[in-house]
Amino acid sequence: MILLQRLEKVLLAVCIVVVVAVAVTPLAWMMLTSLKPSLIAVASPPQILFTPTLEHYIALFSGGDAGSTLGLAFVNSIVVTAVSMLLTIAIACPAAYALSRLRPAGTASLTVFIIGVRMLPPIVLVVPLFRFLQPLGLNDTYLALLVPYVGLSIPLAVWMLIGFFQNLPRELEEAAMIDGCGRLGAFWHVILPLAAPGMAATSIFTGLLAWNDLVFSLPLTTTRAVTMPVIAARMRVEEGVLWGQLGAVSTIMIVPVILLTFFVQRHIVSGIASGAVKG
Amino acid sequence: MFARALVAAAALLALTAGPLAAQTLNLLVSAGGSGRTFESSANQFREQTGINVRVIQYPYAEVREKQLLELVGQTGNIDIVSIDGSIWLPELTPFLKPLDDVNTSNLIPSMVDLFRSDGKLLALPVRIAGWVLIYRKDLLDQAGLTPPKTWAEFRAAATTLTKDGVYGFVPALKQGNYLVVQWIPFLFGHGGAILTPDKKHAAFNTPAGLKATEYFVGLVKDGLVPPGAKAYEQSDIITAMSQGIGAMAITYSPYYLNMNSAKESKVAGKLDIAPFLPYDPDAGLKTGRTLISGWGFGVADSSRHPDEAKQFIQFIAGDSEQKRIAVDNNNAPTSAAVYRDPDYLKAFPAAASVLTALESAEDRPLIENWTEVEDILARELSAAISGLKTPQQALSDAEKAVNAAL
Amino acid sequence: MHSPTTFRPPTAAAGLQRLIPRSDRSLAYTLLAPAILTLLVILLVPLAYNLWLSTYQYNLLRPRQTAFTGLGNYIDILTNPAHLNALWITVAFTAFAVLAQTLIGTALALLLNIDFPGNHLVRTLVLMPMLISEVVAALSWRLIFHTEFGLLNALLGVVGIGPKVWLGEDLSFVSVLVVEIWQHTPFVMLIILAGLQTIPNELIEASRVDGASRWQRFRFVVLPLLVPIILLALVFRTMFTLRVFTPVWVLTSGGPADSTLVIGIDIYRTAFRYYDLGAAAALSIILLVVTLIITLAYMRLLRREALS
Repeated sequence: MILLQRLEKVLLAVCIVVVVAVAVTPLAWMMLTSLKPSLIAVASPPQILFTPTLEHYIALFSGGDAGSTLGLAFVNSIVVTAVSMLLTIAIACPAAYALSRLRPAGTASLTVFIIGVRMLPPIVLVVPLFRFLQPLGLNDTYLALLVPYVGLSIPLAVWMLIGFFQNLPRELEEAAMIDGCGRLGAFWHVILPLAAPGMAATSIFTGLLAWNDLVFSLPLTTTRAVTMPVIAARMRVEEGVLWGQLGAVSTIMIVPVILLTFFVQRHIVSGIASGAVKG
Repeated sequence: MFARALVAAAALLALTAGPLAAQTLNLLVSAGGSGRTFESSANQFREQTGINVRVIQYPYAEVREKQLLELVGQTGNIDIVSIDGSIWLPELTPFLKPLDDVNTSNLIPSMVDLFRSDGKLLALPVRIAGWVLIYRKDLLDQAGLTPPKTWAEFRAAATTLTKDGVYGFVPALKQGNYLVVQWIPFLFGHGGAILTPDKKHAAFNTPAGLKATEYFVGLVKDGLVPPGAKAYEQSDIITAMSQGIGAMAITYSPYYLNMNSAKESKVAGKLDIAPFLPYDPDAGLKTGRTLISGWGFGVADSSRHPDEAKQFIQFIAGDSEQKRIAVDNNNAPTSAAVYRDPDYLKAFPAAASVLTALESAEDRPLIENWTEVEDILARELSAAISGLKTPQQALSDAEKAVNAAL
Repeated sequence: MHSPTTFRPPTAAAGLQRLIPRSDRSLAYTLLAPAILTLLVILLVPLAYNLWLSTYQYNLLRPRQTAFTGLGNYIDILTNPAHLNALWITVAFTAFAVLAQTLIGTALALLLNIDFPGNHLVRTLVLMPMLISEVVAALSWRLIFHTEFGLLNALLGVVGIGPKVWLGEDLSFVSVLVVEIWQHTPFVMLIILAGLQTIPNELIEASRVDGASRWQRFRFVVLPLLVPIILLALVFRTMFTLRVFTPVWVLTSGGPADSTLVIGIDIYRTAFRYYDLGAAAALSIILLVVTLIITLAYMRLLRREALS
């Protein structure tokens, strides 16, 4: 019996190692490439042991157009991501509350509508967006990116939050309303604080969309509103992919996300658990 | 808190939405060697004139996409239009200001002709290179070979050189634009053509076209190319040659400099260029012909600074700037004088013979829906290379589809 | 203008509350208005624009030759074997990808639901593929798949397996599929992991007391409770995989010989290489309809599950 338990532990450990290796290797390999001298970045056989160099990071921060844009792009990415997350929550929360608690006539069809519009392939939004934003002088501004990011995020956010609100006991807000809070007061003082983990979980998906998107950022920005994925895309040059510098950009892009995920991961899981899943 | 965030966002938007600085010209270019070169020219231009040219680098496909959206929308965001030879010219023609009053006598005529449409000059060539045969001189010398002149010699050399982990020929065969471009020198070098002279019908499904395609596919089938070449993009040619697994490549001449750079290449110093591509004597050809392709700049008709834009284009196509970027940035010059310049010859000894080749060069046909033709050819060539169709079947199917598209 | 006021401090909210209709119904519509309006403007207007566009012959390069064709674009697409082939490849690709993501995602969720030291870190690492942009992910895999210089063939070489052309005619479909599965399985895992947390411990304890084996506990207690959640993950993955573009574009561009030409690439080519916006709009409407049909089928299943 003890032997069996031990065997089980070993088996579990092996499984975990394999899973982590498969999940991590491609990206780890790319990050490793960012530290390799150009000569062996792509080589036969692939080099695992080498003297690391920071030449790609230096080239990235100092080199011409891409270099001077990098800082701007990083700030842009953070602003666009944060504002998308806030706007999405600000718009989705009241809607989800209405659909889950107040349930006005037509709730079912409204819900279907909200989810349904998400099925449109984003790529077909590009040309209409470009043409609508152009006369307003909004191409290459934050708004050009916020519009599609928030628009595409609302359906998922509403959907997840509906489930979330449904799971909060009605008695809580009823008690608050009896205390003279009014429905909005109850929403603001009682429901929203309780929904915080759900909002965090929802925001992660909005954030990932805005942080990583290239479908909109590439055509709708030029110089002022460029984001990090655009910088990464520019590493595909005529003579090939600048593997070293691409690895460097990717590393800069993914490290904040990994750190954030590590710290809020518990909340993501519990947020989804109490939100979309139960609902 | 949300309200505050909204106010902050609005403030940021207001900050970034201001109009562009009055004296800044915008130019989208393909990232990489071209981008770096044009950026250095922009810096020179600013020092001399005080006019700011912002060079924005994007991957090749995105330059085409973004530029066209801006031009069709008449946004005025693009002042200088970058044009990839005859491929982009037809679709960009309606958005360009003619440059007929510009003196082009310093430029190589075959290159200037790339940017003429209906007799009007629409752009000046600024970076044009020919296709050349790049080969490992050390390996050819060891095998007692000289650079092949005919396709028969080319195949024989490739066969001899394929050994010990080295492959005779390195092509890029991933389905896409480059696969077609890679096949064209074989087609032309066997006396074939892509379209009929009136550009209304396919002209590649001929005995010459079949011979060329069978020859091309044969190199792959007989293992004279790296097995992975079926998935190579053009950049993989540089990697494969630099890592020393290839003996010969037929490609764009500036790539020679990447393959020969000590920083990026294991075989630096061992490469050489033969400016003339192989030919088929049976097809009545007496010499190899080269293809030319590359970049020209035109003035956008929606530009708010057309005069400054024109000034920049004339600056960069001028003899002195062409020489500077050729020597400093390895640009492929469009000015004939540069090819005879001692400084340039020192950096690029093969220049003189390249010039001879360039003067008789030709390019792909000038048609508006070339991308569609290219995608059809890419699909069918890919089918022939992967053995899903015979070369004859592939050419017949391509002919049908191309004729339908035209 | 109502919604921002709801976020004001309580005193202001109390003052404004008199202005806001008391009845829940109008309040509900007021709260819904920002979301509905945003969606109308951002998504429905472009959708309508696309519907309108899809009935026209409209090429960005030849705006003057624009002409109404009614269903012409749709007929052209549905009678063209190349487009039908793309549709078929897309459906097959989606079916394989979503099936694999579901199976692997469920297994991973069960594995990571076990409490072991370092669980927190392992979960974060396993989520990594879904955190990175699709372009970077696909490019990373290009580095892995390269026949001559790739990591995969090098590793296989160590165990004595000869090099394979991963993106050649035999394996490209599978290779692209692997990348898609690799990147998006973590999403399925995350949803199912969340689902597992909602299963009351007492249920599992009770079945353990009843002497059920581990497999029985999974099969008869856990799985039935998970089914709606799995279906939920399926709906999302299906919706997104049907429009897959980036990994295919980066790895094969639809080749060799169009064998990985999914509808996402078809739309991109039509819109941005040929600038045939009418046909591209029609293609995307067809994709939308296919997505809708498949999703509705799932939803029906989901509802039936929920009822039973």
